[in-house]
Amino acid sequence: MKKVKSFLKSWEFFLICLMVLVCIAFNLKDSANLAAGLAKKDVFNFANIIKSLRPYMLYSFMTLGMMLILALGDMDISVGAIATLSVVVLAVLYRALTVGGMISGLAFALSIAACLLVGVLCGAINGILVTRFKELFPMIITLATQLFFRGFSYLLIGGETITFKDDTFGLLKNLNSLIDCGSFKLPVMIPIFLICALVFFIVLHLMPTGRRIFAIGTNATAARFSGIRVDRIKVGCYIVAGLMSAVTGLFFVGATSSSVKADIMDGYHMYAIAAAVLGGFSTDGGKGSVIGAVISLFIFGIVKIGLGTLFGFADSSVNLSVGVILILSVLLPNILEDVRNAQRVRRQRAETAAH
Amino acid sequence: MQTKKERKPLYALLIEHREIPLLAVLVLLLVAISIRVPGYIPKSYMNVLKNGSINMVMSCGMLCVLLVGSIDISITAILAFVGCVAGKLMGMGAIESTFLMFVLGIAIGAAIGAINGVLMSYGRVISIIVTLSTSYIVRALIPMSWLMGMNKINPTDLTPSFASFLTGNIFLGLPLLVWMAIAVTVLTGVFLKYTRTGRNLYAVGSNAEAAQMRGVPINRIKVLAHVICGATAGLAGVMWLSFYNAVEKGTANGNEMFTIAACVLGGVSVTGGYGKITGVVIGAVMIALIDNAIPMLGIGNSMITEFVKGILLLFAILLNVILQRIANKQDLARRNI
Amino acid sequence: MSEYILELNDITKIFPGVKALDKVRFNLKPGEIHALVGENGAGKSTFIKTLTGVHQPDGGEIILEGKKVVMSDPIVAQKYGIAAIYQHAASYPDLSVAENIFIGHEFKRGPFINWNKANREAKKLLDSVGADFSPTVSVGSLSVAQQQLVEIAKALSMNAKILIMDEPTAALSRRESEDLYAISRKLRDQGTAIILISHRFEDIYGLADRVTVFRDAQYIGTWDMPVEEHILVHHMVGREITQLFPKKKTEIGGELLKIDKLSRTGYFRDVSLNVHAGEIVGLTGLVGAGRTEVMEAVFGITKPDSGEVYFEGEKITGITPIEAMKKGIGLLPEDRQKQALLLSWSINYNISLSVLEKCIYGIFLNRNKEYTFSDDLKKLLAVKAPDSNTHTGALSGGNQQKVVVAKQLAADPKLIILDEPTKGVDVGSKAQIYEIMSDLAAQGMGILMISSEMPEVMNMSDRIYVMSEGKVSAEFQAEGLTQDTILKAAMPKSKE
Repeated sequence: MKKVKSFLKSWEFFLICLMVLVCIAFNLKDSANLAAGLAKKDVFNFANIIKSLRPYMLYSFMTLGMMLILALGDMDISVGAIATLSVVVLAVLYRALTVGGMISGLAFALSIAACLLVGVLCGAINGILVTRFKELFPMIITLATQLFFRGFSYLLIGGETITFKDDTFGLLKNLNSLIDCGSFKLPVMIPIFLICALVFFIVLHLMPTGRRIFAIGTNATAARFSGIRVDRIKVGCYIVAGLMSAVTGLFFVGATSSSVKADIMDGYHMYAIAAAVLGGFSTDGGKGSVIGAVISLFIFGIVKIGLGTLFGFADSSVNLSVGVILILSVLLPNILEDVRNAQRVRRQRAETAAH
Repeated sequence: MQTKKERKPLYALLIEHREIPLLAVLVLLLVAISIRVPGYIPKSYMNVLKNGSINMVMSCGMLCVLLVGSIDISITAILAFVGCVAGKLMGMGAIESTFLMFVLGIAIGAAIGAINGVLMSYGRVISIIVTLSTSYIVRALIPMSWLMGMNKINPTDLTPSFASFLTGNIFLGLPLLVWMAIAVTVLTGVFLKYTRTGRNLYAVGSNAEAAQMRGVPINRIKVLAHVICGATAGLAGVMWLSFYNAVEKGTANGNEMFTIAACVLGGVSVTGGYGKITGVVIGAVMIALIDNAIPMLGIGNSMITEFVKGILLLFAILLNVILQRIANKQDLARRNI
Repeated sequence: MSEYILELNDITKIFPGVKALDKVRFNLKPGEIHALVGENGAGKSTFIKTLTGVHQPDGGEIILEGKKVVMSDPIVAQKYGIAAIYQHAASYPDLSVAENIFIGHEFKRGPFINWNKANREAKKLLDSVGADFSPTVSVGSLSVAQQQLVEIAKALSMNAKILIMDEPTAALSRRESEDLYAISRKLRDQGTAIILISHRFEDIYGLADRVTVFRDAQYIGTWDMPVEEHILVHHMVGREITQLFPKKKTEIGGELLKIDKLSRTGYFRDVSLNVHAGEIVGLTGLVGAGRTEVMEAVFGITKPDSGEVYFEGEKITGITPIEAMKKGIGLLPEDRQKQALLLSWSINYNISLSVLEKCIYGIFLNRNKEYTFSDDLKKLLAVKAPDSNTHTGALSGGNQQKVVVAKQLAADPKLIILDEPTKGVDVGSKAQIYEIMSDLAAQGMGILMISSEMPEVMNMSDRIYVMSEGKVSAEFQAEGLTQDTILKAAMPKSKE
């Protein structure tokens, strides 16, 4: 009973309600469209949603990494730039190797490895700078490394767009494929993402490491005096965030016909932060839930799909709803707390007066 | 120690005036460019000033929010929004006066800034989240059909006098665009150094709790900082429209990072409480200079400026810390323990 | 007109969930120093904030010079001539000394601030409080004592009729405190009424003319000084404290910790000392003498530049905190809220944090194991809280400190380093903490206690080291030692 009660009060439950409400609203609009003869058949159904989720799942991997950083109380602005740099390296290396006469399969494997390695290295650079220069805000450090990483991408390929048409490189397109599940088609991204999310859930919520990460986010000094290896854990988290960015990059290339430019995925860090914050991670650190973040990612996806297909909003205009949801999700709990406190004070005052 | 007045060691001077090392780098950069591209300064200074003006105006506003320990990443969204709204109104013939355009721009910007400020101070939402949200919302509003549906503003939407207002009017050899940036900078500088409200911005950023106990209206000061920042962004929007004669939904997207970079380069602390307008000016000039000069050097490809900006920002902030550490170490050694 | 310059009657203040002040009274005569005492949470700070207009009372009246007044905000209070020096030096570290002094009532020329005049006037004020630094330096670069002087200069600049000093000596050394006493007496003799809040009995007995006690948000009484110390304590705590220092005779065992010529530039030099099993060793000296820094270097928070540390004969110089804990060293840090506790976390999460590997099942955390583990320790140390899921932020200072001790004991240490274990702890909890220390020593644990409070150093320790200016200046056996001997050793040589 107590557990049920605490679940009903939890942020995750609120998010589930929000998702259900959004779905109901869109369904009503869908039916209204049908009834009014605006549409020939219903578009807002499970099969359609799940298939259309693909573009919105791209940054989900990045969000997982960002969760760790936010739990530490830091912020990593460079994740989008890391994703770009990793796939730029992938493209440049693959082109060089194949032009140099290497078998495409081996070249491909090497390039993928290099891509992930770049993610890890960039993450390590961030982590080391953040832990060595504690005087500086991680946000400022990663703002600088963001410019640096993106600048490095420009240095490598300038304004060029690299596109590959060969089958080996085309393997990446499999990341964007759909699995036929009878009544609906499941994007292969979703099960991969859910497995990753499960790993993050276990590490963050069930293992000592996760507890330590949240401890650092709550009070890094106290964590250090408690014998937690703060710097080591921090660097680790930044490396994982970098790696997840590189993974995001791979999915992005798979989803966008194997072409790579130096200005792709700009602004992805903001999507990742937004999803994690709606999921209950605070930019102050020390709190958050993986489940909440996963639900938030789906909410953002569904809202975008609904507004796009049912209301005909352009994709960028959908950002309007994202902005509103984001600000309300942080503002509402604060307002509720204020109201509750005001009520308590009023009640206490009445009691005092009655004495 | 023998001299009557104790001489300050070099590093202490550098720490106290964080803009000095930056100025040195700026001079070095200019020398290097001049050697590589003979006659660069007389040929290009005007372009640097022109291109840097809009960023300079926004940097003044950014300085104010950074001083109170806040940040605003919605400024370029405000810029685009204001540019589109004002341009559309002019295109429809609703506004013809250039003066009114500026008033309108500043007013809209200030209003959005006020919303940011209220949400972050009274709503207790961290400023990066607030301004991230408003930047999404404000940019998304631009093409909304129920608003005005202004996807793109073209030169044909503008009156000829407005289209040439900032570049066509020249006083003492400088276009009005640059004068405007100078005026905003001087006003901000005087406001921050010589008025009580200006000092209160520093007080709130330096120690909010102390400020509260001394009766400084913290929330109002924070809102004010955001209003100023919004107003400069709105002004920048109209300036952009008059300078480039075109604005669209995606205009200046991401440029807010360069505004923040100009401030950080100039030694402004992002935790609040410390920052000088002189530093910000040098930071903004530096960014404009890199944008203008690096492509002329003929190294790497055309996009190398981005790389140089990244390196420079990283170098500048790390240098600040390293200088501070050297200073601390020297202080410790002097304690003779 | 009454004899009082200030009277507060039936002041009530309510916060969500707590009544911080319940119909308290207070009055103040011109030209007196009136001490306000009480345990942590008794409502002193809230009372001060109500008087200075930071908080608005929910009931009661403030009568200033015979007239009823409303302190609607701190600026109004300043206009009425009430100035406050707060517990944590409430200055602006990034701003200059002159600006800190005059902010809020700047000298103006037209609409603009006149900086030249501000600097000149600030210099005069600084001279009058005996400060020797320039008014143009930033306050952040000053020492805590110097910052306190800036605060006093600020209070003087307002020509205050009523001066409130909230724990003014908390961060000061004895000598600096003496200077502050002198300034306070001078002000009193000039007719300023002073409200003094302090935990230090030295301050109260040295300065106060009258004393008022608050307990549990209520007014207990007002007495003319001197009041006997045990009576005052009785009023503050609400019960008798029979034995404050329950030191037991223990068997001194083998050498546990040995520090050999440990140095760190700028903090301490050539520090050598040792601790045996079952022994309580006191390490005292002025604030800033380098005591905390030595222990942080031993525990691995910082790295020493030279010298060695041995634990049970094994060289452990330069280890990390986690290795130190595994070897059997525990450190209770100086600042419990910043360095030891996660205030938004529960008691059991705090206790288990450093020993999570003891509470796992496979690779997963076992919450039940964790709860039982920490609940046992919590009961052992008699932490007063509804259950182990209570947030540590909601506990009193004394109970928080017990949680920190429990956290150290969780790792089964052989040696515990306690840095100011009773700082900001109420008298009741103090006695309990001493008892715990005594028990632990009796069980054969070595205890190294850093403390500035002479009574506890002298009554709890077997042996005492004194540090001064980064060096160990003396070592004493506790028996038959007088306070003066210790203080003499603690005084910096350069200043004598």
